Amino acid sequence: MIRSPRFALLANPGSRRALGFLAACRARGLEAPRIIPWENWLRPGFDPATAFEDVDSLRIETPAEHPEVERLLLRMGAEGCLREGLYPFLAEEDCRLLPDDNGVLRYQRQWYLGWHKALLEIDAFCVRFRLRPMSQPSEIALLFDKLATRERLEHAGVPIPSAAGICRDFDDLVSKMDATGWNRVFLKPCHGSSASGVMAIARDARGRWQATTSAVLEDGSPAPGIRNSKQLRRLGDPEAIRATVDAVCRERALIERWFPKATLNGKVFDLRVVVIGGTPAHVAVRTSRFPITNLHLHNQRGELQSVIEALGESRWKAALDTASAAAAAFPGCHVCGVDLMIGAGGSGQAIAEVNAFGDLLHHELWQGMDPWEAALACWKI
Amino acid sequence: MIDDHMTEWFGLPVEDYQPGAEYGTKIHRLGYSYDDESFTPEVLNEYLADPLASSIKGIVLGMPGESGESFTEIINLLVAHAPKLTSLRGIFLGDILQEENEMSWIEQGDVGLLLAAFPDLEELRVRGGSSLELTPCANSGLSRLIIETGGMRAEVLKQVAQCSFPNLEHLELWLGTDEYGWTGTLADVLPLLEPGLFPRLVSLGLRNSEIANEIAEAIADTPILDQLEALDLSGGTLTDEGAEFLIASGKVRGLSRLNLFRNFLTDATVQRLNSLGPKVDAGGQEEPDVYDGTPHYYVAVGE
Repeated sequence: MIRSPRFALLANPGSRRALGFLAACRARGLEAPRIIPWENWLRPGFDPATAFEDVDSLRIETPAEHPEVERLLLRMGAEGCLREGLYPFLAEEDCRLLPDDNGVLRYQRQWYLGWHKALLEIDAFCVRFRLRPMSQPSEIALLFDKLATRERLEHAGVPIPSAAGICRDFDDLVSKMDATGWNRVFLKPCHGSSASGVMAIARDARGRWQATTSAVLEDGSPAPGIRNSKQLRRLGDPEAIRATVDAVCRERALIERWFPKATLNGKVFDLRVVVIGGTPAHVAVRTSRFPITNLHLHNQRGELQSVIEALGESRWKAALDTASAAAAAFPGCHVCGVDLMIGAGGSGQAIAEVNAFGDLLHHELWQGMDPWEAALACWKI
Repeated sequence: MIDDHMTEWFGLPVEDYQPGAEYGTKIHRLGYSYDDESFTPEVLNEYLADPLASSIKGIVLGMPGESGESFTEIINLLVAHAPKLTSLRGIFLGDILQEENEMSWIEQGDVGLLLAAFPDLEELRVRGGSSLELTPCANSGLSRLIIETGGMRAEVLKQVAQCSFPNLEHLELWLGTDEYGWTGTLADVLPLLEPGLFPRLVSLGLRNSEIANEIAEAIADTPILDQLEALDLSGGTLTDEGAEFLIASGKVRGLSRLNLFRNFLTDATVQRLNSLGPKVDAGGQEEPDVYDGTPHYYVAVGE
């Protein structure tokens, strides 16, 4: 007899993701998951033994968008960040006093090191308590490092844009653009999520510069931080671009060659493909009149249908195959959100990102199921 | 539609040139790209130097190089080989997509040199407005002239108006925005609306313009409409206000086609336009961005 899985859910209670997963469990007739708030889990002295008693499966949701959880993760990352000595560091005892961020990008490396440490501990607990995580914590950690993610994809033969490594600052950007001969690049924070801090940067033979980003500089400091304004704009002033690049690079960022993306009636688009248990399931089209598409999610079926028609059957199939191949490079992840770019003119593809928590697509159904239900439908214990 | 490079021209397929490709059965596209960085002007020189180049009907040029190099050298090469390119009827300078390079960063040159060197040229397409010149010339073969820019210098409009193109049927100019090189005003556009300037003109496009409303008002009752079959004001910042002049115009009703794709028209106005008489394309209408309560209208290609 097939037993129903009994889940523990590590999440911020009340978040859209936690509620979505709980609703999906109800819809599938599963026992209500045991909710373990990140805030509790990350607090020193928390006992995982009671939390994991009598469950066999673990669902991990993002710890983001919770100020106290951010402070706890920064605390966990303090030691590692101090040891590295490369990126902005906040002492352990100062973490608890940190005010809420309001969209400021800060201590991203330290946050990542804390997050990485927490995930590896969870990995160990999963082994100890014979728990099957829906997504392997160590793979989630890898997906939160864009450089490591690139290496994994490259090794698996999945098409990705070329890269020129970690960028120290604007001067380093210029010398790397000179060395590679690339005049159009993306600068991506290694540990950022969505479009936070991402810059599409172009220069030309006449020395003109242009950058598109949602990052804005925080005023009033010789080394200003940046904030995600959630609105894309263009910068043309090289000094403004220099200051913004310098600020993004302080948090560890990598340079990728700008892969020219397809446009549909003059609008850039790419695809978020949620791959579940190896199958490309939900697809959302993201369009923008800017080269960065993350902020503009269009889920209407009509929009997807027009993309499929415009691409034609063989190119559409090739696109889904590439998305599947990208997800397959992370076999420990039952669910992956793959951001797939189609090349200018409609031919060729490349992977922009793979997201561990890329399945938050509102109102998007595949075979009548939302992404959470679909993930549960093919989850076997 | 996925925006693509040119795929067909003069009834022939357009394909990326590979060394050793056959001449004559296809039109070739030569240029630098993300996937093929091998193009240099020398590649073009060798292509044109082949004796079989006398059979090519058209030529399409993509990016001159990674860093937005100028088309000047390419123009000079075409001119140098012109005497033996006796079949050439079409030149497209700048078949470059939005994500390959900003349209306003495409470095053009003097395309008037091409029109002077190829008296039998039927179609010239140019994409990119930076450093663009069109030294006034006469060309009695030319029937289609298309110049796409994110911002056109007023000087180029003056130069076009000074040319003699007795057989020009289709004139399409993308005027753009002053943020990306447009230096003109309505006064610079008006000379092009003089009837008889291009006696065979039947199709006029003043596209991608941030003065689309002013153009609509000015053009609505000008005699040029009597000779036109098609008017194209697509991709601009036309609003209902400007559309009213078109709706009120008796001459607009006499057109066969009116293209107002991708402006800022409301559904109600689109419906009224649809019942005017001409075949109207008014799809893809945008809504303005609103910053601090002020609507902001933008052209289709403005970077």
